[in-house]
Amino acid sequence: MKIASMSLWLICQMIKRRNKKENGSAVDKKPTQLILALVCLIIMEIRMKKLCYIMTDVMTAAFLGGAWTLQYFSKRKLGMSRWVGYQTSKWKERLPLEALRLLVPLVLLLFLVIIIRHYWKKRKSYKKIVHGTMVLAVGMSILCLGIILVNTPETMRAYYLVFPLLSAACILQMIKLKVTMAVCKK
Amino acid sequence: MKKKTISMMMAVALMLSMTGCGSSTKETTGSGNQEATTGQESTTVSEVQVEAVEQRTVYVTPEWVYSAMNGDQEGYEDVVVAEVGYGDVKDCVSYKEGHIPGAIYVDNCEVEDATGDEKGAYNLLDAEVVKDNLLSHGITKDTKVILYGADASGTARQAYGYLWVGVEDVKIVNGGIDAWKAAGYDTETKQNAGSEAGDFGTEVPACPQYWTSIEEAKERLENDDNFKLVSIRSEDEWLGKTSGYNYIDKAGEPEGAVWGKGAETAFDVAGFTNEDGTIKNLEGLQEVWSDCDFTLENDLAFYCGTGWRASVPFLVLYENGYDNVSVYDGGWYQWIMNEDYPVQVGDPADEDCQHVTVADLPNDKAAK
Repeated sequence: MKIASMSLWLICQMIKRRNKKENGSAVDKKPTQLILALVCLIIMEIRMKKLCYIMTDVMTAAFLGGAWTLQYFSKRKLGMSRWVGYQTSKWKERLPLEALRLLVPLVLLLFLVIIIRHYWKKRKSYKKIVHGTMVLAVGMSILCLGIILVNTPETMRAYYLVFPLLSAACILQMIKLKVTMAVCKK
Repeated sequence: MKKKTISMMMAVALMLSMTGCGSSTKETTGSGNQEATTGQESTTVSEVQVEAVEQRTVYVTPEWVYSAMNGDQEGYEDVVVAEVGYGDVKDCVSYKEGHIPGAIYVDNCEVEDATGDEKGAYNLLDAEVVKDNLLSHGITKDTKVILYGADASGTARQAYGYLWVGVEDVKIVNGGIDAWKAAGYDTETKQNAGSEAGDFGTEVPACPQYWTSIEEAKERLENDDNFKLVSIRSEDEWLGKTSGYNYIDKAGEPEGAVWGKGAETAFDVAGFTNEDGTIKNLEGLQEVWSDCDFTLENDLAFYCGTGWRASVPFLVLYENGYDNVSVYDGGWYQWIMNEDYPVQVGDPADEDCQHVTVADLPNDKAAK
């Protein structure tokens, strides 16, 4: 729709430009810029979906990498360990961390089950990419939720800092899967 | 000719090693020492004459440790050498890279709290817990313990904890593993573990006088003119410009504290360290303290942020026979847990030094 309307507008501008030329009036250079803008828009329209798909995985990897780094250094570095403890105590004052620790994974698990159920019902109407995305997203979500549920603040020093990162990774994967299911139908 | 000389030296070394008694060195791998490689000069093992030291001596040379491990120091035929680190042994890079042969690994968290909550405050653990941790390594009050580690203040902290709980003979390899290697001795990578012991041998803590509580520190600051609470912190921490730590928001010092220098940041004891990385002796510390507001005749309680840096001057004075010394374990970290406790911000000798309470301090002084 965007491309169509912009193309129409550009055609009108080109006609105006030709009329001005025939009348001997000065012609501005806008059409070149407009053409370039149209080309970019076409490219973006086609590529944006792929870009979003890749960016989601990049962000997921960043969250997982951040979580791993936090836990790695909090076990080895005194300063990091104590900073983690300090941040955790600050958050504990403001947020019901113990309740969130149990509630958030349960909610995420529920969403995951709903998405899997939805996928299973309509699996024959999806393109191949959805199946691959499904496997990756579910695997990643189960991994994140598993780490959250298996560990505790006592066993994992940076638990309450790692927990939101893993939850965010899980949510991203579920959003990616849902969008892919919505967009990539046969 | 060169090969013959090297072969002869190796033969002599082999004979000497076989005649040594009670050697506790384990099978070694790694570089250094007398195994010469073809075409290269062999690393010379330090041949410094080693004298006996007293039980109270803490900082010892690598040569002394080597001779003790080889059974050449009377009363030290069966020492426990331990590398001090923070966290689990599998996370300790320095231990895995190479440690003194036979050295076990001990964790700072076996003597001090790791949670930092109001109850623990990074202070020494309950004496019974420390005792149990020591027994798990086979360390009793009579065990001759030799410590070393990548962090001089962390190692000092461990030694202080051991002395407090009741280990009677604790030594530290002055200069750590770097000094050991510089002396030409081997390292190994094999992980070692002590065998458990049953009875520690005394009630714990055996030396409670080495530990000053926050209540005692406050009370004595107010009422005892001979008591000096000595800050072993950097100048910026002393002047209240920064807390020194990314997990402490407030900066300042307990009201009435005096500055003992010794550190350039919250994580070193550079002022007490020689250029070669060894800890200064008493004379060296006295030089640092030449213009400070305390003397060795005062009752001294050293403190810092959480007790690591403060352990170093404590040990130096302890090994020189001073019994009027202790560590105020809670440090600045525990002091600011009490909103009504008095603090000074700035040099007390200056007119613009502020005298307020913890509640009045801003919360933006954490180190970045």
